[in-house]
Amino acid sequence: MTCDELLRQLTEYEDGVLPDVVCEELQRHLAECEPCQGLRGDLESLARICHSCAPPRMPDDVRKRLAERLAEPSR
Amino acid sequence: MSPGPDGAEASRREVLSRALVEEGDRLYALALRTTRDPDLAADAVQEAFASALEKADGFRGGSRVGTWLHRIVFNKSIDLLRRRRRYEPLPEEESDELTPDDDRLAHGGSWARPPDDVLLGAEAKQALERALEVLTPLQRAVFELKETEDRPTGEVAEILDLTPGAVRVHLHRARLKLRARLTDHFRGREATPSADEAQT
Repeated sequence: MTCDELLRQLTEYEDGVLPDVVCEELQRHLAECEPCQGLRGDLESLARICHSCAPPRMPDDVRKRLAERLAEPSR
Repeated sequence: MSPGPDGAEASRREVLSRALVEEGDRLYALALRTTRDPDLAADAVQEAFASALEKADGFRGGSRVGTWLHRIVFNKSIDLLRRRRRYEPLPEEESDELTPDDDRLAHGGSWARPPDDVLLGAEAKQALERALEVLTPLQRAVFELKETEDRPTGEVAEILDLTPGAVRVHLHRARLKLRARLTDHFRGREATPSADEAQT
């Protein structure tokens, strides 16, 4: 497996949709390839930053308007 | 016996009111991530609920109400961007196939290994927020639903009307673009050895 092949299949690998034989090839490549390990590490770090961010909250005025609208009886 | 028109509407209002409580923040987050504009995001969510109130048929599909509402919010967000035409590629203009350009994105240098206080600090979060500018609305939506909210690929595909394979392509592209964009931010911020380690 080449680096580009690994790259193109990484999200499928993470999703668990690759055949076992391809997973094994990918894991073997990853164990031996420093640039691909760097890439994987960066993507894991990116996910950690994402998960550490506070999710946005719907502004109170928007929520209030919607709740009122949903409570209105039909005319 | 099925409920009459008034009963059906009352039931729809009840379901949507519950969805507002349970899913409101996530629906807003999807709109905000897609549009990157709090006013447009608020409009998208409000228009989506108005649409959901009118579309009785929407509940009859196999999907959950939350999934269905996310789909309407995403579509409204794209409609609003389209109306304002902000020089951003819209979903139908994006390729669902990986290209050599995607491969090239990965060929920049790796981040230095930043320590956790740098990686998870306020500056990194601001840098990520700025970096999201380089993504298209569709890539931002995929990134929000998959990477931030950890939704299953099949559900993201249903929300965004894509195949699961296309979701993975857009996620891959989004992550590589963000990684490339954030490389400069993390360069030179690798963990430094402690005094003890430096002496050995």
